[in-house]
Formats: sequence, structure tokens, C-alpha cells
Amino acid sequence: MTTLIMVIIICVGMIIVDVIPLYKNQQWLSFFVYLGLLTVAIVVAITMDVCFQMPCPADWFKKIIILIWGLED
Amino acid sequence: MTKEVISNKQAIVLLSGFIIGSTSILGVGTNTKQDVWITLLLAMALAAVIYFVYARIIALYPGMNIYEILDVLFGKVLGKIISLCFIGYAFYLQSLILRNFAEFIRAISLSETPMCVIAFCGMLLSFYAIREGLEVFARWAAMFFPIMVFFVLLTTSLTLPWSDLNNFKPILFNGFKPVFEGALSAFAFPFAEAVLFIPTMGSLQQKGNPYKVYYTSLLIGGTLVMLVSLRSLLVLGPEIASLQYYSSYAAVQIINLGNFLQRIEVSVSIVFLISGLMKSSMCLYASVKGISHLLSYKMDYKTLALPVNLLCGLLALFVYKNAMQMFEWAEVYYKYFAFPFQVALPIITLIVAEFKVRARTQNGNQASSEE
Repeated sequence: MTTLIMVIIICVGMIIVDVIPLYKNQQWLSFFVYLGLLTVAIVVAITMDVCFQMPCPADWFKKIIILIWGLED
Repeated sequence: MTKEVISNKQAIVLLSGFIIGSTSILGVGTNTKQDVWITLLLAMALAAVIYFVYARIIALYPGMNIYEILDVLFGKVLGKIISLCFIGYAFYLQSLILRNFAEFIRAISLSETPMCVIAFCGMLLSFYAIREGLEVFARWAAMFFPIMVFFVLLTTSLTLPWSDLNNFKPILFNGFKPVFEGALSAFAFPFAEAVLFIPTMGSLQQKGNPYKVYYTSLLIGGTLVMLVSLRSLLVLGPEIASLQYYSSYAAVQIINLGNFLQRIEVSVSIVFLISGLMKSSMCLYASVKGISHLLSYKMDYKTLALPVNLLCGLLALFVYKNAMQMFEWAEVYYKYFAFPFQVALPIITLIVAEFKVRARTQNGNQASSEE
């Protein structure tokens, strides 16, 4: 749960520091991009902490590299 | 938006710090054991060639960052697709650095602390550096770089009583092939990672010289990396140095002058903290500058720094399963992974840029002769 708690704390800070001023200044593109990225971060944090083990990208890249360059595993 | 400008000196300091980066603790070319110095010299020679490509791209389009150059060369659609590749690489590399940082801190001191706490601390430092702007960060780097160099020189000179020159022998005992393979690894990590410094070079002052920046940084950064690697080799010996995960840290642990000056391995952590922060922040700058470009600069890169950085910090938590995989990836697979971003794309970009510039010059000459 540590990751999720930390992400929530950071997100609250982000909303106070960045999102509210963006909304007040009516910078809609920045506002929605920011909110989109925040949502992705929260979803990833929930997935990591609550649901399941995230797949490791290094494993995928390793398989692709072995396939392309013909290396031995 | 006011254009940020950094001087030649600041760019050199940033790039030198970028080159040292996580190499200061992970080490480089340790697999080649006593031939690590040949490995590094070879890697630096290869880096000198690719640095010409990077510097030439910047020199052909002064004052423009790599994303703007890609748009000019390949058009809006293809340019943006290639930009996306660079952004992805910068993003991924930053998460690797954050993971290195977290693994190192957990291995040496905070073993019970959750990794996310350490990674997020590093992440927030990078965010603050970029949020304050490139100029402020460059001034900070210029102030802290001498401290970093001082600690590297101090620890290296203090380990001299424990250094054994016999550890250099036998030279090329296993032949040249492992040395060449090690040189390719050292070329990809850390030297050719300087490709991510091209976006920063767009802010170089008008009279700045990209060739001077790249080659001076290669000399300074390369020398410091060489010092760190040789220190580990001479103090620990080729076998132990190649087996240790953090050989640089282990080498400095040996220092004990008259039972008075000892336990100064924290200086290695300080060097890593400064150089790691420089590298991680430059990667963040490259990615947020690119995303800002993709959004046609309607969103300031400083505003993007925190959410992008948060995602990077999260990726760092699951980018590797454990420290063993981290070292295996850095030594074996990273060079293949990084090849398209570090070598292929810049060379293609340079070829297209040269053709475009020559065509433009010829058209200009024809127009003036017709007049």
C-alpha cells in the first residue's frame, strides 16, 4: 500500500500546486493532459499495490532483442 | 516563452555529469577484468566518432532542439513519430536511473525502506531541478561539479596505498573479443547516452560550439569514469572487482589512514547523488521538452515535469525484477536495446540533414546567380 499512499500524497500536492492554477487560468489543454497523466499514474499505482504484479518491461525487451539479434538466452 | 540559454561551460559540466551518472557506482567494463582500461579507451574512441554525429546535427541547425530538427527534416508526421521514439528512450532511461538509485541506497543503507520511498525521493529531486528551469539547473551543476570531481580525486588518491599495479597483468589474457564486447557495452552505457543531451544543446548560447562541448565532456567524463574503474581494479583486483555489484563503493571502503580517516565511502554516494541527479534531470528534460513539442508548445515543459516524472518513478518500481536482472540488463542487453536510439537514428538524421542543407545551399546559389 506504500506506493499507492505516496502516489496519492504526491497527486494531492500536484492538484494544489498545478491543476487548480491551470483550471483558474482556463488552460484547458494543459489541464486535461495533466489530469490524464495523473489518472494513469493513479491507475498504475492501484494496479501495482492492490491487483496484480506488473509485467517487467526488461523481460519483453530481452525477448525482442534475442529475437532480432539472434542472441543466446 | 523566453528562450533559456546555457553557456559552453555549463553545457560541458552538465554533459560530463551526465556521462559519469550511474557509472560512478555501477562501474563499467568490469567483465573485462584487468583489461578494463583498454575497454574504456576503445569505448571513448567509438564515442568520439558518434559525438561528431551529434555535434554536427546541432551545428547544422543552431538554436533548434532535436525535436524541431526532426520536424524540419522528416516532416510533421514522421518527425513526430521519431520524436516519440526519443521521448520513449529518455523516459525509459530515467526510470532505469531511478531504479539504480533505489537499488543502491537499499543495498548500502536503507534495506528495510520500501523502494518506492527512495525512488520517489530521487524523482522529486529531478522534478524540482527541471521545474526551476534549465538555466537554474545548469548553474547548480556548475557549482556542484567541482565538489564531485574533488571527491573522485580524493578517494582515488587515498586508495593509492592499497593499489597493486600487478592487477593490470596479464594484459589481453582472454584475447581481444571480450574487450571489444565490453567496449561496446561501455560505449552504449554511458558514453552514447549523450544522445539525450541533444535537446539540451538547443539552448546553447549563439557563440557556443557543440563540438567543443561534446569532446571536452568526453575527455572530462571519460577520465573520471576511467579513474573510478581503475581504482576498483587496482584496489580489489580483477576477480573481486568483476564479482562485486558496487565495486567502486567496495574499493573506497578499504580506506583507513591511521585508524583516523575511515568509512569515507559515503563520498561515493555523494558523487552518485550529484551525477545521478544531473543525468536523471537531463533525461526528464529531454522527455518533457519532447512532449511539449508534440503538443506544439501549448503546454510548458515545466508544467509537464511532475506528472511525467511520477510515471517515471512508478515505472522504475517494476522495470526490473531485482538487482541481478538490473546488472544483467546493463551488461548484456542494454547495448542492443539502445543501438537504434544512440547510433541508427542520429546517423540517419545526419545524412538527411546534410542532403537538405546542401540542397538549400545549391538552391540559394542558383537563385543568386540568376539574379
